[in-house]
Amino acid sequence: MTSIALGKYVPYDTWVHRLDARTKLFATILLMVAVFLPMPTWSMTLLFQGALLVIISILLACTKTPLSWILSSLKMLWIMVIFLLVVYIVVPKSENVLGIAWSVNGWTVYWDSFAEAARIVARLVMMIMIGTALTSSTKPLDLTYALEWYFTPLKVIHFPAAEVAMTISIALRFIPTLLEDTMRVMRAQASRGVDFQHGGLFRRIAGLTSLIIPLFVSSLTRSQELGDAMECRCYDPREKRTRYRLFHFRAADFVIAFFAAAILVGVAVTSGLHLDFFSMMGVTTL
Amino acid sequence: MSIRFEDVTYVYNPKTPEPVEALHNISLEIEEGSFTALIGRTGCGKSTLVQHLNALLHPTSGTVFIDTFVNASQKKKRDKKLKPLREKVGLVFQFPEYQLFEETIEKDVAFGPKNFGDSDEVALEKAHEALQLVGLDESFYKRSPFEISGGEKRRVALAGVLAMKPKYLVVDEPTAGLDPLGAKKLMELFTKIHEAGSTIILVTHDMDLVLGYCTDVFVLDHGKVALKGKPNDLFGQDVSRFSLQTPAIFDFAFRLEKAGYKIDKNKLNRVEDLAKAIVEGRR
Amino acid sequence: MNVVEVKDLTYAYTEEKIVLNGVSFSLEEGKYYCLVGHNGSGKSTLAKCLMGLVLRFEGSISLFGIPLSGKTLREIRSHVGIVFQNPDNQFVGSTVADDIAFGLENKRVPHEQMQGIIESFAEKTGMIEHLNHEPSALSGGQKQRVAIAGVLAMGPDLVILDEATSMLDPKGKNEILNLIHSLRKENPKLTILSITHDVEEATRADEIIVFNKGKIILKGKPEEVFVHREELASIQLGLPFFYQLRFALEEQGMQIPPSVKDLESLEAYLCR
Repeated sequence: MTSIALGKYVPYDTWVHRLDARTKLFATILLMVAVFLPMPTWSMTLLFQGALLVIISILLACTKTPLSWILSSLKMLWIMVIFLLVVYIVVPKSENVLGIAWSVNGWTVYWDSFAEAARIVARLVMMIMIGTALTSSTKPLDLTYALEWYFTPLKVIHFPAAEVAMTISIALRFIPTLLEDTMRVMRAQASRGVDFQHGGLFRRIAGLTSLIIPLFVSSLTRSQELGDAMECRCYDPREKRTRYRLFHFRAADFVIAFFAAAILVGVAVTSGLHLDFFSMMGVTTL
Repeated sequence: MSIRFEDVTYVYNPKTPEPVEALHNISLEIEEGSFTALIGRTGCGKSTLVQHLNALLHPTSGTVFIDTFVNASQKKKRDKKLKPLREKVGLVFQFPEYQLFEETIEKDVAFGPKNFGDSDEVALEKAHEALQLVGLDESFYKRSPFEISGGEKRRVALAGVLAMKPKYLVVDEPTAGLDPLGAKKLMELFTKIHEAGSTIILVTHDMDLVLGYCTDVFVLDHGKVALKGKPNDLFGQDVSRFSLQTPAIFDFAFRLEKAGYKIDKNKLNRVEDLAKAIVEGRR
Repeated sequence: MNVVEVKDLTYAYTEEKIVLNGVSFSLEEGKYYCLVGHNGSGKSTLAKCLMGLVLRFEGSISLFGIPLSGKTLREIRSHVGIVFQNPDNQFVGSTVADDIAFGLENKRVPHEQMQGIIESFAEKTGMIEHLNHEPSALSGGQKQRVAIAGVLAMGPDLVILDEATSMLDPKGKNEILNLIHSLRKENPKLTILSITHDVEEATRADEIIVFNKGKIILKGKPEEVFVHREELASIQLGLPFFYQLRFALEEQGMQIPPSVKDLESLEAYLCR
């Protein structure tokens, strides 16, 4: 259960951890956009993506996230790499500027295909790195509050920002409890002869039902009781509430926000504002 | 024939920065036909130990023998076929009422026997027998397990394990949350099953149950066997160092002894025994 | 003025399933009440009625002189706190501090005052060192102490414990009961209604209310209630150890004077 590294909080006290969650969310989004902006030439791509990779690596290193975590979450990208290569080699772009890699029986493989695949993988790697930097340095609850803060203006159109944030924070709070429930029911049913791994389809479905139904029932009970408990403690979603956790922007927050904005602007200007949606997704030829 | 732990160590999250050793070189033997209690403070390793009985966990090192079944740390030495073992050892976890899932009570109880290869008819027959045993009559058979009371749910779940006619019945805190007479009835049921020839292993925090019903007791502390013996011998000494409570009967007997009473603690199992001892001690 | 005044309270899930059947009682300020009864006797439904979680009842309930209805709910709930049975299902916040803060946020306590209140109640319940801990790192007893801290932080005049100790091990149980007693010493005006089937706990109460099939069948001080041996046995309730021993001694032919009311006095009597 502990192998899910992506999205896990690492309790350190680095300057990244101390930044306001709102700032980190803002910077994350800007950096992600910057990573995805297309560059007019391959050399520019190499230069800018390289620069971004350095910046992001430094950020990630500052959060003290264990390197093994990052590598393990990058592991699954291999399938992606192979898939992309196959696609780009079989269906090459119409324009190929990097030349032919090799040609067999009239079947041409261009260097561009490799470059294209590498570009997309590099983007994904950077996305994962940025995401990890955010989640490993920010408590899920703080992220929830940050989201709520950004959604607050939407209250004008009756968007229930506070309720959504409350729902997310309760869901996060109950993940370990539900995992425990799952383990408990699994053990109980296993001792009643259920084999969750082997056996025919019918047996396995029966086994799965014996797990899912009890979990469903206990979750319903839990939510009912939690609702009662919240009501008894005077919770009313329609009423105004005060805040225990308040956020304050500090000088470092402004610096980071400015820094992220500067990077995005720099990249956007260089990319010549080629904000074509499809090329942003890297799927020009697909 | 018995359950034997030989040098069993179990470590949670091995090969991580924070391994947790739950059992440390445990060697013990639970004899066939006994009513054995496993006691100790929360987190002493009781629940981990119990899961080895059913091969839900495999030892990190050492071996567990359950009759002829071998649950060893090394894969090669371990018996592969789990079903015969799980039929033989019935495990009732804490708050078992949360494992019910079928449409009717009889179907839920028959689920275990069916998994172990019984035909629908035989499984239902076993289910009915088990339901009778736990004191639920025919009127319950076709009802949904979700519309009965909490105490009844617990008995249905218990019947679900009893229906497999286990030779070893392991029960983890079976009386938690029950009212006093509900708890008493349940313990009397275990006594009945014990007298019919099964071996009962009771994991509990309630020392009065240990004193009142068990024949043997193991005290676990920090993953090791700290004490073993007969309940009456155990409570004759100070058990507070294992965060165990002295049963009320013994506690009061100690207080009277200090004032000069002579009380034979070997025969002290029920309140009536204590009353008799007091009256005799005065003479 | 009585803290709670219940008159002819009747509640039925369906026509046949009557859970509460003409219940009347009142609770006085500063006393510790135990409401005992077997599982399914209607105890917990009564707690839900008192908290206004169930409003379709017949009869009347008033707390602190305010009649309970949909309109007065918020006002009443700011005077009453409840601790439920399952430690996990009432832990709302993601850390101990956040959970204690939850009620304060709802009561619109200004942010500046919160930290002080949270710390003082975490201190009282012995959870001050765990303020930043998540619920998964706490034992059942610790979670219940957080629940009590969260309830007390809201400054209630009445605390209802709805089987609050029944899922805990003996250590956790004792922690909670001792905590309740120390809180009562500190605030003599605090009224406690503990709904339980733990008869040992009930021996420490000022008054016991015995519940069966939605009705009150016995009421009074522990020594008045527990002498009704047959009646208690017939409704699935056991006797506390002292009373079991006392009856067993009497069956052995020993005469025990009525002045012997607990184990201490019995010990003194036997060792005189």
